[in-house]
Amino acid sequence: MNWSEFFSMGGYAFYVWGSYLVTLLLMGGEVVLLLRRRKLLRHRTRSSSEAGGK
Amino acid sequence: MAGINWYKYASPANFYPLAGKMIPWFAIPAAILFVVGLYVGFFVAPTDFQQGDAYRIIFIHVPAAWIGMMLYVLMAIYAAIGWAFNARLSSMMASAISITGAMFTFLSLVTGSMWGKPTWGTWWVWDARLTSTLILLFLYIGFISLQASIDDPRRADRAGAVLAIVGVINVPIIYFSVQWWNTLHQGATIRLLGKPTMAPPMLAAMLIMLAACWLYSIAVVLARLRCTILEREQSAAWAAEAAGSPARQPSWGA
Repeated sequence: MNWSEFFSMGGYAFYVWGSYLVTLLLMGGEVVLLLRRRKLLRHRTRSSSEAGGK
Repeated sequence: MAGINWYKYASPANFYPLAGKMIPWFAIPAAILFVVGLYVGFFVAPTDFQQGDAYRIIFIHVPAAWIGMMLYVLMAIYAAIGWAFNARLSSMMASAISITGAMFTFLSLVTGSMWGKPTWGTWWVWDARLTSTLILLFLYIGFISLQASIDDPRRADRAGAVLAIVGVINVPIIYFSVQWWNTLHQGATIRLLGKPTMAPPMLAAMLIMLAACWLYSIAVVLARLRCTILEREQSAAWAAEAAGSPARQPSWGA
């Protein structure tokens, strides 16, 4: 099997790679959003406690 | 098991560091299993004689659909425990699960559609299984928006719990829809009893991907639960400490 044959997925490239692309975007997006939320939260929690708590 | 005080971990302050330690134990195996599962799915599993290579979508579609359903049941159980026993952490767990559950349900609908177009010739049909899965997505969205619309967290937890518990009836409907009605959607792919309906490498790829998605879900839900705990307990001193700032020392006199 060569690579161009592999990427063509027997003519179903759009559907197969499209599905995995959506999967990657959703899962990757979820992880990125969580990391950002955590970073922001840590920053806020820390600064609010330094300001004497809320 | 003996010697561990499990009640200790029902308190958010004690669970927060434990969850942090648990995350890598799920995230790393998840990443490894995704690689192995995709390798088996794309390089070991043969082309299907009926569906060609389009069937390779099921390696993500079936796990996503399963996890979308299972997370809903888990969410309802945690919400119910949180409501019945007034357990904050349990309710927070339900909220943490809801986002990932909705994500997987949406993913199962999108990938199912991407599979349906070349195989059935249509992106969507109002078939019993597809429709009940769409209702599952709406239940998740309802739960998330209901909780977001109520300012008081404990009231939001109670309202969410009612919705989650009532909606659980939809899960067996999805599961048995292919038996109860004449659906375009095919029957169960994973059977607990009886012979598997697919070639061993295909089944293996799907099960590995299912395991990977489970581990991923646990890691992501724990990470989100930690964020929720910090948000809700922000006023508590331990939260500031956990977020990395030194505890404020009480000043003794002048």
